[in-house]
Amino acid sequence: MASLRDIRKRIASVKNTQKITKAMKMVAAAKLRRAEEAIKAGRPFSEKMREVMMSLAARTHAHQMLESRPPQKALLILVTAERGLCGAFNTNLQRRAEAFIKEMKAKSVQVDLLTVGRKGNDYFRRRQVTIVEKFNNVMNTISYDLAGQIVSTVTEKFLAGEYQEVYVVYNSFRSAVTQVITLRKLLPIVPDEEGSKPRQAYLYEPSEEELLEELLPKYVQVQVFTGLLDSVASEHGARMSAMEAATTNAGEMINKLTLKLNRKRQESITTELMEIVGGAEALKG
Amino acid sequence: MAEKFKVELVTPRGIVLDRMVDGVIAPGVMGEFGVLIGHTPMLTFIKPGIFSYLESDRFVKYVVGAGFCEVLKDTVTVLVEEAHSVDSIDKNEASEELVMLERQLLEINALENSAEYERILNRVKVVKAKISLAGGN
Repeated sequence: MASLRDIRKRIASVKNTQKITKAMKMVAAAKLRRAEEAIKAGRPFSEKMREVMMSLAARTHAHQMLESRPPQKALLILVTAERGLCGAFNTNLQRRAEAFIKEMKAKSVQVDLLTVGRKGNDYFRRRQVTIVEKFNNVMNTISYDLAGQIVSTVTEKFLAGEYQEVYVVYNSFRSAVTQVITLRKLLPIVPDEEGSKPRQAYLYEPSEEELLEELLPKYVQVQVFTGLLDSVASEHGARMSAMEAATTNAGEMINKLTLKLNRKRQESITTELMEIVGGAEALKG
Repeated sequence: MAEKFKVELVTPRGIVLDRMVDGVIAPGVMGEFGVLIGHTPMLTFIKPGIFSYLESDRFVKYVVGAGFCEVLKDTVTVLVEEAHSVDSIDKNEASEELVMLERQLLEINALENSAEYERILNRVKVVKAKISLAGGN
């Protein structure tokens, strides 16, 4: 049976936890706002670029990055958070990645991983998956250059023929409370439905090769960069709601414990009174 | 009056321009080019310089950074690293930046760090375009 002192101690500790979760929520909210602005501003550019690339890809196949080859090995870029305490954010991603690996295995394609963010690396390190490259402790300072580093690693392997397909999976930001897991094929660049509509021939200036040579890596970099931005915003969103829930739960717990404490206190007062009354009664004889 | 077409000017920091215009003049790598309605579909790089569009017989000018431009039958999409309207340019600020950038250019080794050199050189071109545009007013 817990004593009064024990209950008081527990209340104090839960209160402390609540303070921490509340603070984390505020921090996440502030960071979310910044991340959201960055992503909203960056989106039109990346979407426009995607449109242009898609219509370009539909027209020409004169580049290795556009060529589809039968896959034997694929690379999956897994973008997770650096830290936990953000609800099911990382778990869902890991599960999706695992499902994807299984799915590809059924088609006898081996999938290797490139992890961005520590959590994904931690999880798959202990499993039977090859992690070819890891980028840890980067999610706090994502930049266009970081996307460039990731992309150059990936394209190098892709162009060397080591991998025939490259995918990326990340949490895409919808709103502060909803994140959608997005798995997208990064390489080769395949024109989608809309882009494959027959259109007029293009005039290239300078040459087609030069344009593709420069544009394709840039395009992939922009796609990865928006993926990173998305992931960061999602992470803060997920953490915010997780901490909000934790704060509410702590509040509930405090209420319950306080109730218990008061009951217990009353009980002990009653017992004490009974004892005194009993003692006085006995003295009367 | 000729038919209008759509022009979009987009940077990584957002959409700068999205409207129907009569024509545009853009700084391509192979020289400045003009686009009117019905232009042949084209894809080209944009070098830092002055981009302008024509609307009711008046040119509206923007300073743009490097990027590229897609011309389709009824749309012109310009994707550049940066874009500034004439009003947003502060001539003094631009002059200061130019001095700073030129100093950086002297310090940097063009052979060893060519990417960085290129980047700063592009910045210089943008800033110079800013100054010339602000001076023209």
